[in-house]
Amino acid sequence: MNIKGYYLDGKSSKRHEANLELNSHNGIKLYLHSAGAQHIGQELIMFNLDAIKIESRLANTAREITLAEEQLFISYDNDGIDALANRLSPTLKQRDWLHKLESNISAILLATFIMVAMVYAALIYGVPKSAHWLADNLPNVVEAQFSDSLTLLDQSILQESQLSPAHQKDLKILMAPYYQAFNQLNIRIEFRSGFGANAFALPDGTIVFTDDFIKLAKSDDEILAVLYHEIGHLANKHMLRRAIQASLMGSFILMVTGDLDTLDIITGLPSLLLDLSYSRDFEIEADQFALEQMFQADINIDHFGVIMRRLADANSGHSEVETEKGLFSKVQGYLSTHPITEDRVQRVLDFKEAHGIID
Amino acid sequence: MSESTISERASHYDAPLSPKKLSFEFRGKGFEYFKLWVVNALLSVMTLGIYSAWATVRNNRYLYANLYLNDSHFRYLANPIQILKGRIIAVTLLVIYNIVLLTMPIIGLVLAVFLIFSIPYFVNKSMAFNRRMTSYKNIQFRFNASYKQAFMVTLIWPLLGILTLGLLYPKALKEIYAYTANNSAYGKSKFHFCASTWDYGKPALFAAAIVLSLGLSVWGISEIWPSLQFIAPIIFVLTYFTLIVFFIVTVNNIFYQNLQLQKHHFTSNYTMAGLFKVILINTLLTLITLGFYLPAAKIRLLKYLAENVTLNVHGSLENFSAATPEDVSALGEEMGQSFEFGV
Repeated sequence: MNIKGYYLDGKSSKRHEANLELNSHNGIKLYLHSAGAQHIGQELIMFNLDAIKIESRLANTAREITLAEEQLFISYDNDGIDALANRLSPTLKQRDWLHKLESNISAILLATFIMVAMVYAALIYGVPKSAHWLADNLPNVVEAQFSDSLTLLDQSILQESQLSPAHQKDLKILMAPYYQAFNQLNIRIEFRSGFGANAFALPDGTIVFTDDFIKLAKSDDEILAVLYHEIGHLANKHMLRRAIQASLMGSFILMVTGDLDTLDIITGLPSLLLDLSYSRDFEIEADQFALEQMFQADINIDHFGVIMRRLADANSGHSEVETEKGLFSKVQGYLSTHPITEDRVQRVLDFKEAHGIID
Repeated sequence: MSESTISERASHYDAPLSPKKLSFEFRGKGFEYFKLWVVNALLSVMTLGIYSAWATVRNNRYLYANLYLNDSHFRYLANPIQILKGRIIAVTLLVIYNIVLLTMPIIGLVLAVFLIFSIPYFVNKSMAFNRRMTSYKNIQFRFNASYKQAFMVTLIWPLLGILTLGLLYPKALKEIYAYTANNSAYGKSKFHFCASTWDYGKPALFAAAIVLSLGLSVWGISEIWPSLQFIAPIIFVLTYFTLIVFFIVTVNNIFYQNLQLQKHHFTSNYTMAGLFKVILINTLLTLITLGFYLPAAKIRLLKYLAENVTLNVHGSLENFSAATPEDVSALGEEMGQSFEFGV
């Protein structure tokens, strides 16, 4: 057995052509062909077997055999070195199965399909499900940390409400009986101006209504519909779940792309799309919650569809509903955090059907 | 292969006056790398991330082994166990840090301050680890910098760059590259980096002037013809992208053109057109293949980056000698990856 390659002594950067031989007593013999000093002829170095280590094969890159005292033998004769490794004791056989796997085209195809399936399953089911479980089992102390978020919003995008204190008090008195059942959520109602016609729930239980929204609502029932929608977010811990989902997804994508250190746009765009679709699921959950609560509180659930549609119109600037049909609205569905209004109205109809409500 | 040995021998005896130009060469192949990546990704996910340490080593071994200079390749030497240890410690610290930050904000704040002051230490360790794990012709690279040096380039200079609204940013860049290069060594031979702040200031001024005049003319056009306002965001995106390419090309060219090792000078000829072409092809193919082109894209980029660097060799490359052995841990590198800091 004779393998052609190079020898490097580990002390200088001088490279020698060399031949490696296995002698009859399983010792390693290395013949150096000293360049520029041909008259010396060949130099011979002997090695014990326990002083050498054969690196695992990696595609067709040069293969190294590390020798005692930082010396190194390099060869492109991968098959020769595989044969040498087989001849030597089995303990010297390296992780050869990896190379076999990597060079087997059907294994690669299979691995690719498994990858696609696993990524799909993890992102569609795994991440939301585990985030849900984590959110339910996390100590409450985590949520209490968000208590400053209203202060932060007050300092940035929100201003004091222009509603008269009496009006605010009336609205609070109106809502109070409807959220009594959710004592454990520490619900507190606040009014602010700015941010368009809107209502949102903060993780500590604060629900904020904007002045524009109060103006937009034509009846108390419409306000209650939105109140229940926001309580739905709180009861299902949506903010916390979204935060957990974002970090889970981040680690998962990192694990798959691994050392590719990609441009942010390549991993960022799918993450963004997924986040949007996750938050759409949350909206659907909150809608469902609101419909159920309204039904139990004996509020006409039609108000829900009406106020949601008016909110969407007010915030998109359209005076009249003019939903584009076909591909565009589908794309819009994927790109928006909130479900398309049409879907919302449909959900009201579905809910009615399921609960046997007849107009 | 024998040809190069002969020419080396010849140069050794004839001692030519003109330098020999040796280009770096990258022999990696897209599909070959894709195969490694799929197996790595699959095993990493299936082992819940444990395998990622082995994946990192295999990945780097492939890339380093395909980088050639003068027909000799580089080598990546890290041991997966070493990396796994560092990774576990770093991730554990990151989780503890985040929990403390949420539950005990005061202690979290103290930890944050402590963490900021530990960044220079870990950056030094990380650089040392990466250099130490790289070898060429069986001689390892080295990195050795003081805490103060790292403190300046990780915290002070970037901060001054921001505080002066970018005015000191060229100086900060120069200091950062000087830190990475001047503290590096190939065996016992130190790298030498000799760029001036003005080398960075000139292109920065040039870019600022272009952006300013472009911004003014777009503003002027949209004032005169309001119907043309829609071009403003398009021009903004194009300018932003062009600036990034300009930055990468310029900074890398300055780096290599001012770098030397013993009497051997580096040069590079990255061009905006060249890099733009690589990025455009990579982005398009990655989008079309829904991400599966990504490994091949990395190979294409590395090929471009490697093959545009040249070493002007004065004399022989055979006289480098190895430094004394030293032990380094992977903790610094993994801390940098987990906590997302670095230079």
